Amino acid sequence: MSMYGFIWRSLPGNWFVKLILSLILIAAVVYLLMQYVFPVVAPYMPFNNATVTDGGQ
Amino acid sequence: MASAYDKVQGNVPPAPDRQAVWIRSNRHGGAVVNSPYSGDEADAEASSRPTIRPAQRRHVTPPSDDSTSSRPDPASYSQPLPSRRELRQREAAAATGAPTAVYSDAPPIRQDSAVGSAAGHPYNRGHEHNSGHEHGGGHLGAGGDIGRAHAGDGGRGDRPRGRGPVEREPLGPVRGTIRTFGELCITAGLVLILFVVWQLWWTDLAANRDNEVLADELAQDWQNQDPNELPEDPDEPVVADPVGKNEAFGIFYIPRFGGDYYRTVAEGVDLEPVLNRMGLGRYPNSAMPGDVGNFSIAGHRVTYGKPLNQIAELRPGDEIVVQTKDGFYTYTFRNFDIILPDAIEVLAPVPDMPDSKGKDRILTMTACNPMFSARERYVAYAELTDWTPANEGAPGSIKDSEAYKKVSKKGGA
Repeated sequence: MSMYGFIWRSLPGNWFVKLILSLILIAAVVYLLMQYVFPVVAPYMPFNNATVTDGGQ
Repeated sequence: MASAYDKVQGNVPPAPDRQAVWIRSNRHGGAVVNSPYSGDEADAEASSRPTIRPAQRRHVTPPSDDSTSSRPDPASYSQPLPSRRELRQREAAAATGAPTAVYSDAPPIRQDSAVGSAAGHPYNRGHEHNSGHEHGGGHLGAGGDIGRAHAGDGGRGDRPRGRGPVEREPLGPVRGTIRTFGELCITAGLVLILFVVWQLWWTDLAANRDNEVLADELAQDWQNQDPNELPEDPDEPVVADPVGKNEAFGIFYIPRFGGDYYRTVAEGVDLEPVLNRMGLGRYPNSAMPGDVGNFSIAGHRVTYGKPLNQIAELRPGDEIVVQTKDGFYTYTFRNFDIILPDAIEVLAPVPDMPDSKGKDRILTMTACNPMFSARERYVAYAELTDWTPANEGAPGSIKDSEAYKKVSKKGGA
C-alpha cells in the first residue's frame, strides 16, 4: 500500500498507457507547482528582497 | 509447383485433392521458411519458386485446419515457429478429432480455432484463458473463429501471465505506512529541487521574456506619443511625467552589464508585478528621471531576470542611460554603499542626509547583498551628467550597442 504503487495500479490500461498517463500527471503537477505554488512561496524566501523599507523588509 | 499454384487458385478443390496440394506446397514452403536457419537456401528450388508466394501460401494453409489427421508442419506458415505449448494444444486437438473450420479465404493468423475447440483439455487449462472459446455448439465460420482468437490474443491472451508478478503479497499496514512516508520524503525533496530550478532558472527565462515584450511595447508607445516640450535652457533636462502604479516608463541601458543589457523600469517596488516581471522598479515618491532629487530604483540581484546582478561590477565613471519617451538621461556612477535593509535615508534627495533638500539629480539603485541573502542592501549612486532629447538620437555610449538596436528596431527613437 504504497502511494505511488496505488496510483500506478489505479491508472487504467496496460503499462504503456499507464506510463503515458503518469507522465501527464507529473507534467500537470510540475505545471501547477511552477505556475501557482512557487510564486506564492517565493516572497518568503530570503533572497528576493531588493528594496530598502521602513520595516527592513 | 506451378500446378499446385493453379489448383489453389482454382478455389475449393475437393478435399482429398486439397490435401495433396497442401502436402506438396508444404514441402516447398518448409524449405523457404527454414532457409534462414538451416542455410540451405541456395538449392535448386530457388529457380522453381513461384513468384506470388505469399498469396499461394495464404490459400493453401487453411485446409490444414480440417486435415487434423495429418497435421500440418508448422514450419510452412509465414508466422514464427509455434511454441511447444501450441504444439501440445494441436496434439490435443488432434486427439479429440474435432473437426474445425471449413475452408475460407481469411488468412489463418494462428491456429487458435483448433485450440479453442479443445479448451476443456487438461493441457490447455491454466495456459489459455477459457472465455469465449466454447465450441460446444455449432461451429462458426473460420473467419469468425479467427477473429475471436485474434482478439483474445491481443486483448487478454497474454495478460494473465503479465499480471502475475504485479499482484505480489500485499504490504502490511506498518510497512505500507513506512513506504508511503518514504515516498513522501522523496517527493518533498524532488519538489524542493524543482523549486530551486524554478527560482534560479525559470524565473530568469520568464522575466527576460517579459522584459523584451515590455520594452518593445514601450518603444512602440513612444513612437505614437509626442515627447514633452523641451525646456528653454538646452542643458536643462526634461522631467519625465509621472505614471500610474505598475506602469512601465523607461528603459535602462548599462554598458558595464553587457552590450545587450536593457531592462524596463516601472512605477512601484512591489515584487508582483514590478520587480518580478517588469525589471526595475521606481520607489514611489522619489524623483522622476531628470528631476532634481533622488531617482531611486530597486531591482533583483538574483532570480527574476536579475536586472542588477552585476551591480557590484560598476566602476566610477560608468554610464547608466535611462531612456524615456522624452529622451536619454545619462547618469554616471559615483560610488556604492552597503547598508542595512531599513536604511531608507539612502532614498532621500541627498542620500544619507534626510534633512537636505539638495540640488543634484541623483540616481540610486538598490539590490540585495550579499547575493541570495536579505541581510543587507547594496546601493549604487549615480549622478545625471548628460541629457539627449529623443529627436537627437541615442547618446554615443549606447548608440551602437546590441541592446539599443534591438529596442529601436521595434519602434523606438
